[in-house]
Amino acid sequence: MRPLLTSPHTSPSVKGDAAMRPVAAIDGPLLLQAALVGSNRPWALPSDPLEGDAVAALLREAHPPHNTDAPGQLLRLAGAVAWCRRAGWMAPVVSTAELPLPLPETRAPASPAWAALWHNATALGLPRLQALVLRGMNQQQHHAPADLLPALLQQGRQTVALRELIQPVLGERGRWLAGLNPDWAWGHGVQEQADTETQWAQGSLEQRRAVLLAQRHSTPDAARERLQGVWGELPARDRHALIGTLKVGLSVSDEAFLTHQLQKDRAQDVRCMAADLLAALPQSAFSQRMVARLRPLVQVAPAPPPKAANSPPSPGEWHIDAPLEASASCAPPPAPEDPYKSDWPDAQRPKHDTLGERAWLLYQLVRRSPLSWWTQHTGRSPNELLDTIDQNDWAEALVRGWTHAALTQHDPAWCLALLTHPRLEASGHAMALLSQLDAPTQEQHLLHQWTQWTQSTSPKKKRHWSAVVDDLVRHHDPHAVWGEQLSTAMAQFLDERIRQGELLQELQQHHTLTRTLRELACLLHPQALGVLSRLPASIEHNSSLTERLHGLHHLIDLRQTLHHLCTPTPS
Amino acid sequence: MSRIPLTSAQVLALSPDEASNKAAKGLLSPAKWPTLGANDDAVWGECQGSGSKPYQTQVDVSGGGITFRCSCPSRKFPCKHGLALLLLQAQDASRFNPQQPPWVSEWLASRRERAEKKEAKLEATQAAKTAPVDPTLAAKATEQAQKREQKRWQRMQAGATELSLWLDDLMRQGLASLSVHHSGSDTSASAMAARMVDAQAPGLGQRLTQAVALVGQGPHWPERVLAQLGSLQLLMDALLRIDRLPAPVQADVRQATGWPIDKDTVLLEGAAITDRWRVIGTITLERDERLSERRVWLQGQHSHRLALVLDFSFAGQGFAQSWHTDQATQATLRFYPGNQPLRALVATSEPPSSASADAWPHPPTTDTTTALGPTAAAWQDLATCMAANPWSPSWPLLLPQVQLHPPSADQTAWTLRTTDARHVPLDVAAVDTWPWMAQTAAAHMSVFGEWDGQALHPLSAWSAQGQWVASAWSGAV
Repeated sequence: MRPLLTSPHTSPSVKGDAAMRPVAAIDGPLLLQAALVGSNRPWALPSDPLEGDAVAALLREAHPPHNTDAPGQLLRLAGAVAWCRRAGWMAPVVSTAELPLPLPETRAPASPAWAALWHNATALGLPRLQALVLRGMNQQQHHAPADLLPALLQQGRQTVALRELIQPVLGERGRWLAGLNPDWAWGHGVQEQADTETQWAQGSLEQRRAVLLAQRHSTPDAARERLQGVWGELPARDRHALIGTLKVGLSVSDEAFLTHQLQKDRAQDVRCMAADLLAALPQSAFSQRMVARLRPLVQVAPAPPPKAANSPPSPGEWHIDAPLEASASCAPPPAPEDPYKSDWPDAQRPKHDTLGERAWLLYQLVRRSPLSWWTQHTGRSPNELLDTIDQNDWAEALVRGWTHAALTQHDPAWCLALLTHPRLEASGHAMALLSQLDAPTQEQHLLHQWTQWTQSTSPKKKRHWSAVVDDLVRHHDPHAVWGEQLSTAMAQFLDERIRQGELLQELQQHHTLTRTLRELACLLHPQALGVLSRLPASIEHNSSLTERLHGLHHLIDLRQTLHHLCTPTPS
Repeated sequence: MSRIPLTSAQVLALSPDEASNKAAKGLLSPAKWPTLGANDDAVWGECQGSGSKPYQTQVDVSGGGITFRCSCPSRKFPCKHGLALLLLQAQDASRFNPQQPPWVSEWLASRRERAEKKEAKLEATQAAKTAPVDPTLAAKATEQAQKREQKRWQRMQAGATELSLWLDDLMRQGLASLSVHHSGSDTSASAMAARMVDAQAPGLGQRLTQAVALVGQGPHWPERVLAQLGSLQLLMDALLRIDRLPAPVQADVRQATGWPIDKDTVLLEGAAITDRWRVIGTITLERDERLSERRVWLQGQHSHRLALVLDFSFAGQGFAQSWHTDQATQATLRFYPGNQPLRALVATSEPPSSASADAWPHPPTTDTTTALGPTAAAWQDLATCMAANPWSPSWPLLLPQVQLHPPSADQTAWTLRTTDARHVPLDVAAVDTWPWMAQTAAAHMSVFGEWDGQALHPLSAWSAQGQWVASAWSGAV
């Protein structure tokens, strides 16, 4: 092979940076300038180029300087310079240090089957299934395979709810990788810690909220002081969002700050939030004042003597009246300079509210009084209180008030009682109340609801089952499967419908049912999953339904694979 | 089962186009495949399509290559069903039943029969070729062929002269005039490019079009346009004095001006090297809607020679032979003539096997390697390669001991950091970057790719962590 050109450093003795000889350092720019303005204007290569410029010497040897007017001469020289530069190019030296290596893993790597599962779950667009895969991988003490890490980190960037499930399976390599990409900072544990101050100072509202929430878990007072430090500069929307973080680790030491905001803040929803938080502190002066207002309105008759010697004592009758006016005490009308007027941050009834003026005031009073006071004062459980209000004129105000209080004061007993109360069905708070309960209680409640529905509904009306299931699905923890009891109950019901051919018929008529079944295929306990496999895999002459059935079977298949991966094989 | 199924990446490299890949991925639900089977000879399955009868998809993996057959009406080859079948096998081979159904056996038998017939026919033709020919007739034929060639060279030279005049005119006015008059719809340059097709030198026209397309693109366009036009001028200079050039350079000039060398000539006359050839990188480029170009880089185990096998697929018909990175084949390659021959054709080959886990690929060990160290030697080899054929669009580069670096705050490109702290810019698909980083975890590796004069397009990498292979597909060019 004979080279057409001589490379500027073909000599083997040239080493390292010594090879960085100038390549036509003067000629290159000169030729470019001549080319831009046109060779009609006189141009020539300088007769003495830089010393050691091998290319320049070569050019002069091949093309004597006086011959610049020859056709194509400019391009010829430019072409030769370009070739030499290209051949002699050396990568720039950058001061960036070598990247550190990730720490050795402490967990075992997940098999490729896990990666395939994740990709399938993602392709199906089912966050519930994605969560199950991540949970399974974590339970098996695996870290995700390397080729899955970018997808996981990206998913966590988009879906904040999945982050707590992704974080443990990232492994050392995943955390290391997250540290290299600013978009994935959430996955880089250490950096996130170190970066708290930056996030607080420059972060979005959501990030600042996250900083406060995290700090409230460990050092609640310091978090409040952090908030107090910037309080004056915050717009109303931010104040409202950030004061809400005090619900975590709420204690008497927050009272002074909250009371101040209740009395002084310019924004009504901030004052309302402060009032709700103070109400969750039964020992606060605010709570005491609310109780003092409530006490005269609630009369409890003394308990009647027991009917039989061994029967339990029944609590006395109770009665409630609504306040006449919003005031410090109910009896005299409020003076304009009432020091406690601020206790009623939303005393003004909305124009079209279903409650009347007095009922509205009662609702305000009930929602911001400690729930514990009711059980102590009346000697009744939440259920008993709810059972007896149907005859009461103020029932709606009471239920609304208690619901609001149960949510802001996080009282599971009240939440459960309210959930089972018939009046609540339409109020749209079921999901919020349910989320306050622990998993087994939630499940028991859903099972109860479902059994009640199946038992009380006529066979004809049972065709509306999917709406009821949708409701159950919606109210369930998005990251967990159902327990065996609820799953078995559901499987029995589905089995019957499949056997009678009704389910297939419904699937043909309602496309939305596919979504319900897909959700069920993610939620049912693995033991109960088999029932859905009894659906046929295809229907002749109905490609749309066949396609949906394929999807469903694929999903069941994935669930079963996941179950196998999570079940230790007997060795 | 003794045969190891292809990996997903290897299967996707067989696809005729990107759309088929996507369609195949949509068929990966085992519920769609009532029958799945595989043994050492074939992989088969029945896929539920929109009709009542499932499609019968089968892949012959017994011979030297991989052959698909499907009862679906798709004109793509291989179709999405065939690809999906192999992808499913890559995901979970345990689903496949080794019991071969009759429809598969029949097909395999008919293929074997056809192969035997073809061989017999080939032998017959070769026998006919080797039969003695009348020397006077042969001499006459050669003379005629030479005359035809001479005529074409003259026509091309006439074209080059015309283009030279046009370029000279342009240079007299200056490149600045190009930015005003010729950017956008450039009629005069495209008319000139069309003239070059008439002059049977389409390569000259393509180079002109490419250079003019750079006008106004980026801050340094005048420099890049000048470099391209300069290179074109040197090609025309070479064309005009073709008789005085050595034969290998003549061949390079001929290729660069767009006069391809006949495949049969190469197969008959090209320099032959028999070795165990291992695929060290492949890339498929979609040139336009109907044409895909596949570039397969091979290295000989004993000769350490590099070879480029170039294939084209029209209208999704697929490539005749399947290649995937790390596959190794005992084969005889015939090289196209040239100053430093890289492009080759496969003359004969044995069935491929997976490469043994030795430390391939080898940097060529020359005197310079020992004198300069491996990194400097790699650049030296590249420079030598460029000097040998400066008109090539890209050159192979094998960089040892490099570390992958994500873009830093002040630059946008991914780079490879060499041991002497130099950063080599990469031209790498975004989908490949972070998975590559995750897989290699900052390990030092050898990277093989194509260097286009400005950036390295990486195709594969080897490190202690294992091997990395770039996506087989690159977007439309």
